Amino acid sequence: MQNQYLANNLLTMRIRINRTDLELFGGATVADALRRYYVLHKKKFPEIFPAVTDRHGNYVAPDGSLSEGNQLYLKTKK
Amino acid sequence: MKPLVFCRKIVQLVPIALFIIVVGCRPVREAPKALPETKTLEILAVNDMHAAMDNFPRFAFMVDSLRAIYPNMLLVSAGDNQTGNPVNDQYHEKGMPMISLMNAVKFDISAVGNHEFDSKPQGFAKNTQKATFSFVATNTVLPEGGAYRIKPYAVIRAKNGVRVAFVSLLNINEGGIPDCHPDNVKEFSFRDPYVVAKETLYLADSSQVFVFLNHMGFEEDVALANQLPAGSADLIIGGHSHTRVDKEQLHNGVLITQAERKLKFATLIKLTLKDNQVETKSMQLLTVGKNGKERPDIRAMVNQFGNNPQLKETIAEATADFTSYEEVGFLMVDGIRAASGAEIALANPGGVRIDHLDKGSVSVMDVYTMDPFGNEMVFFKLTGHELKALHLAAFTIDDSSAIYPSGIKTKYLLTETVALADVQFFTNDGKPLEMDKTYTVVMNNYMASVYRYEHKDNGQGLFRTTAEGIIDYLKNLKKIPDYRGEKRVELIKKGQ
Repeated sequence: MQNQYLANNLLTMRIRINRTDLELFGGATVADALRRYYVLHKKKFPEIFPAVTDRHGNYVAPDGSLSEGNQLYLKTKK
Repeated sequence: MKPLVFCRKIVQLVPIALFIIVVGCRPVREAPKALPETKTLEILAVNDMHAAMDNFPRFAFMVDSLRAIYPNMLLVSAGDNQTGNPVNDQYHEKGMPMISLMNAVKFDISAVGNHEFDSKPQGFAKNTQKATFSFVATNTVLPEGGAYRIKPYAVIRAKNGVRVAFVSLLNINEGGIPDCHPDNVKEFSFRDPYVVAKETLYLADSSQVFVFLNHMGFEEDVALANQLPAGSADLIIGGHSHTRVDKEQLHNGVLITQAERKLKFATLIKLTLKDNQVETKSMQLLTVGKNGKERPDIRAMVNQFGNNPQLKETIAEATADFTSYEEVGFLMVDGIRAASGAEIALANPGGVRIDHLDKGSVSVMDVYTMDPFGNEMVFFKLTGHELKALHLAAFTIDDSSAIYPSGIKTKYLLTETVALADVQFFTNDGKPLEMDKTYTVVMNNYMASVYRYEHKDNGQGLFRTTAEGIIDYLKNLKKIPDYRGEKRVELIKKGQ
């Protein structure tokens, strides 16, 4: 059942952090997105999980679920 | 009588006469018109508790205190009460500790979140039957004849008579199901939440307050509010995205709230109603956490669940000692492969936290010690070439350590400076892997997000932790074979 379902449903989730578009596995969380963001930008992942907000300025927790088209904002040091 | 005295008497009598005329001419006095009736309603809302049982004694104390101030208060959850704590998740009746605690603090209603399905159909049905509060799920079509005690909507009457309609919408992913293991929802079907929302608006006629108790994510709740006819809904209490809404969010006149997750916070919503219409609405995010006064009976319940001997019970017997990270890693990755049904499973070296496991009894807690991260399984379809690209990319990220495989064997060819030159792949019986063929591959979500390599399939989460997969594997296996001398990975330095 599981393999059959997954064979027919190749899912990709597209989200955005700041101005970076990310393609992630279906079911990815904020933490997964953030890890991908740091890899893409070739930056070391910080020891303390950085604060991330949504487009309305609300804080979102690292284990928060994401949906297609979500936009997140991360304050990065220049 | 002297004329002067007569005149003075007349002047004195004029005001009295006028008073009699004015009062006497007024129409018969009507009963005073009833002032518009003002009522208040308070709702305490939580979401995504994820079995944060340690915070429950404090939360229960806060609920009691608030009920003393607001006797009409309703207590609601926007779903995902379950999953995230072995004490609850590995209980012999999976999820029942959370249901018992919610019953004890007298929840009025809960949404069905995607993680409510984690107890598997039979367990979930039992959880809904044991709950003394209502479960509500509006865009979920229940199986015919199923034993689920779930309502499509609910109208609850608060103690002061205010009727509150609750509708609950669950997020549906691109695959047409909620974010949970597909096997757990095969009995159900799910409808588009935005279409269903509009079909429920008639409930406003039989209620004074209309609430969406959703599990869709904050951005989806905003989209919903903006699609609704103005004034049709009063409130959206949301969950799923673990968003901390600490200031009022009004969208198209609808107040939207969410209180992050794991009982760190709760939202106190205050409504005033005039002439059966919601006139004002406000919210306040309250900190719950662990610190502060607790309800002792709830603390006793939590402690009792925490002392569950099942967590220390033997689930399998190791026939030999495990003496290295590699041996423990191979056991873990075999478990993940079996639990996922994939042809190949991979585990990153940093994901294995112990380098020994004694011969004899292995418990649930041993599994959580070897795999404590709560990582989830992610399922991919990858060609042999993509697998190779993954291994090449991973080597640097994993500090020049090899990935633990199950279902294949690997040979790492290193340069003299220990850089990775190539990786070769073999089947378990030593034949070269067909590199053009596509394989089903499972790995954890950390690997799925940090390895940067060319691949067509971005993968799909299975919404089960790797630890849960290993536990199920060991329970079925019962006797763990001897992994001593197991060779699946070979590192060959140039010149050797």
